[in-house]
Amino acid sequence: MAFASLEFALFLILFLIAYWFVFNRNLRAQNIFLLISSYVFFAFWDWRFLSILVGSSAISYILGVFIDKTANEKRKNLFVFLGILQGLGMLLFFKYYNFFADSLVELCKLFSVRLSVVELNLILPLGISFYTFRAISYLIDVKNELIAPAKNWIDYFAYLSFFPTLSAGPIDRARTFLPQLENKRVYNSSEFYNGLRQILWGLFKKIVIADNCALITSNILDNYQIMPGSALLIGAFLYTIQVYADFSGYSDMAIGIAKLLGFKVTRNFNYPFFAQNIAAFWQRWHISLTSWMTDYIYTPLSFIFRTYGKAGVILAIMINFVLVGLWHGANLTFVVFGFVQGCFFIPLILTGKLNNRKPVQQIKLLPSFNEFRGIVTTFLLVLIANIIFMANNISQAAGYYQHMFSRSLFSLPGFKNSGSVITMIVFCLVMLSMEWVKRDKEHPLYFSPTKSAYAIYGRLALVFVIAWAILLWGTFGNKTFIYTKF
Amino acid sequence: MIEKLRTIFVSVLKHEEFEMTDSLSADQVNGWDSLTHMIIITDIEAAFGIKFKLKELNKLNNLGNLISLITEKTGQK
Amino acid sequence: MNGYSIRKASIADIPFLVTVVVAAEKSGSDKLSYSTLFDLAEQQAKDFIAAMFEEEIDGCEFSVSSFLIVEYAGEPVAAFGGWIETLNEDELPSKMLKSNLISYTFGRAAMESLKSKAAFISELVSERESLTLQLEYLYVVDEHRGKGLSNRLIEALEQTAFLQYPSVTKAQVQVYGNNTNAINVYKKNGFQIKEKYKTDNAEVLNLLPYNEKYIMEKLFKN
Repeated sequence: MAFASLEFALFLILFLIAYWFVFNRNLRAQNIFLLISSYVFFAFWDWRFLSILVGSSAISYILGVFIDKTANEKRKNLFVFLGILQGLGMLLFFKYYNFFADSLVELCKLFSVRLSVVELNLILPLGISFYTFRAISYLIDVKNELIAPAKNWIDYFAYLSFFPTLSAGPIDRARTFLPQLENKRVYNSSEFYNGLRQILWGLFKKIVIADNCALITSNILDNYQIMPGSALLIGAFLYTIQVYADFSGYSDMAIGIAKLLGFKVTRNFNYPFFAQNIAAFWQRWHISLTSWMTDYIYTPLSFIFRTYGKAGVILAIMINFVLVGLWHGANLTFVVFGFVQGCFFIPLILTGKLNNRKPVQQIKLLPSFNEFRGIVTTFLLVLIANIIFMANNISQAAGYYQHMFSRSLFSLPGFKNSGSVITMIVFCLVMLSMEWVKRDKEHPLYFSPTKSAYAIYGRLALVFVIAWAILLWGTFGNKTFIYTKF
Repeated sequence: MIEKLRTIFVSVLKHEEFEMTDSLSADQVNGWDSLTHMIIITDIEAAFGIKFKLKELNKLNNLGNLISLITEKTGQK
Repeated sequence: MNGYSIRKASIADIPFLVTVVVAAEKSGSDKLSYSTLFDLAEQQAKDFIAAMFEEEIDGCEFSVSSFLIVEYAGEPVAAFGGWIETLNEDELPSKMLKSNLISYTFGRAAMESLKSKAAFISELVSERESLTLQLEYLYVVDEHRGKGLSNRLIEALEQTAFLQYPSVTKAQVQVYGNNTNAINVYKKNGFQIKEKYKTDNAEVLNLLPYNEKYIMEKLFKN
C-alpha cells in the first residue's frame, strides 16, 4: 500500500482504533498486533516475499541470541559475519544480481573474453534495503555490547517490520527502537496531533511538489537533446527539489504515522539545502542512512587507514560514498554519483574543514552573506551531481551535461507548458521558504504550545491552506515513492 | 519575353485570368498550385534553355523577379 | 523512455529519412507518389528524395532540420517531421519550397510525366495555414510499434515548435482517409478532423494510396 492511498488510510484508521482501544491493556498483545499488522501491510504488496522477511528476521534473531550467549570473541565475530552474509547476500542477490552479471560481462569484453550470463527477472522485495540494514546494525551492536539482545522475538520481528518505516525508512537503530517496543506506549495528544500535521506536510511535499515535478522532469529528461540548456538547468533544479520532497515527504509521513502509534522514530532530514558545505549536507540528508554508513563503514575504514593521514581519510570517504551511491540502485550511474560526492569532500578534507562545527546561530530571518554563499555553492554542487543520479545511464548523463553547458544555456527555456513549470517553481520556493522560517523545528507545521488566539487561528488557517493545496494540486491515484525502489 | 511567358502560363493553367504585371504572384492566380508551379518552371527552363538554381527558385516571389532572373540568365549565355 | 532517446536529425540520417518518407507516402499501399506521378522506378525516386534532403533547405517536409528521430541502441527506429509554416529563410509556403525542390531535382522528363496527371491530383492538395506547426511523414519501425513512440515524437515536435515560435497556436497534419492507424494516433494526441478533400477520379487510385485526404488539427492551450 502506498501511504497516499485510500486503502492505507482505511488500514491506518482501523489499526489505530484497535491499537489504542483494544490492545492497549497488554503490551505483549499490542506488540503482537503490531507485528501482524505490519505483515498484513507487507503482504498487500506481495505476500510471496513475506517468507524472506520472516526468514531474515528469524536468522538474525537467533544469531543475536548466540552472539550474546557465547563468550568466545572469535565465535561472536563468526555469528556477526554469518548474519551480514545472509542479509547482504539476499540484498545483493535480489537487487544487484543483474547489475553485477552485466558488469562482469562488460568487464570481460574489455579483455576480449565472451561471457554469457543468465539474466534473471527479479522483483525487489519491499523494504529489503532497509530491514537488512536494521538487522546488521542490531547484530553488530549486540556484539559490541551497545545493546542487549531483544527480550523476545516478537519485539525484534516488530522492529524489523515496523510498517510505518518498512517501505522506505528511516533506518532506526535497535538501541533507540527496541526499548520503545519493550515498554508501553503512552498516548500523548500533542504528539498525536503533531504527528498528524507532520503527515500532512509530508503528503504535501510528496503529492503536490514531488509528483508534479516528476511529470515535468521526466519529460525534460526524455527530450533533453532537443531542449535548450536553460530548460535543462531548470529541469535539474526541479529534480533536485523533487527528490528531496519525495523522500523527505515520505520520511515525514513515516515519522508522523509512528507518532500516532506513540513511537519516536529517528529524524531523516534536517533541511539539507540550508547546509553550507557538502559535509554538512550529508549530515542533513537521509540521516539514518549516512549515520549507519558512518558508524559501520566510514569509521572502521578511517581507523584502518589511520596511518595514511589525509589520504586515508579521502580513501575512506570515497569508499563510503561509492557504497552510498550504490545503495540507491543497481546502475553504474549511482556508482559514479557516489564517486562524485566523495570527490566533493576532497577540498574539505585537504583544508581540514571536514568536521567544522559551526556555532549554533540564532534564528534570523536572513542569512549572512557568507552563509548565503555557502548555501548556494552547496546547492549548485548537489544540483550538478544530481544529473548523474537522474539519468538512466552514463551516456545520457554525459549528453545532458553537454547540452546544458552549451550556448543554449543562455536561450529562453521555451517550455510548451510554461505555466506548469512556473507554478512548480513557485511551489518549490514556497516550500523552501516555509522550511527556512521554521528551520529550528522538526518540520514547518510543528507548533509549540501557545495561548495566543492569533497564533491558534493562524496555525489553523495554515493547516487548512496546506490541506486545500493537497486536494487541489495533489496527483492522486499515484505511483510509489522513488525510494521504495531501493 | 513577356509573351513567351504568357503562352506558357496559359497552356499550363488553361485560362487567361491574370495580368502580366511585375507584381503578379502565384497566390493571385487561380489554379497556380505547387503542381502547376513545378510544370511552369520546367516549361520556362525548356523554353529559354536555362536551368534555375534552387536558391534562385526560392527567391522568385513575383513576375518581376522572374523576368529579371531570366534576363540575367539568358544575358549570360 | 526505456532505452529510447529523441534527437534532432542530421545529414547522416538521410538514408533513414528516405525510408521514412517512402513508408509514410505509401501509407500502407504499394503506391509511392514520387514514383507513380513522375513515372520513375522506386529506386530512382528514392535517390531523388535523398538528393532533395541533401539540398538542406529548411522549412518543409524535405528538410533534415524538420525531423526528430527516435533512437534505440544507437539505431534510428522512428521519425516525424514538423516545421512552422512560412517561418523559413525566404518566408515561402512549404509547398513552394517542395515544388522548387522537386522540379529542380527530378528533372524535365519527370515533369512531363507529371503534366498529364496534375489535373485530378490538385483536388487532394491543400493549403497549409501560415504560422502553424505542420507535421508530416510519421514512421515507426515495425518491431518498435506500440511503445508510444508516436506520442513522444508529437510531443517533442510541439515542444520544438514552441521554442521556434512561442506564439504558435495550432498543429496540423494531413493524412489519407484510409490510414486508420495514423488517424487514431493523431486522435489520441488531441487532433480532430478539420477538413476532407476528395477526388472522384478513378485514375487516382492507380497513382496514390487513396482518393481522400483529411486535414487534422490540434489547438494548443498554454
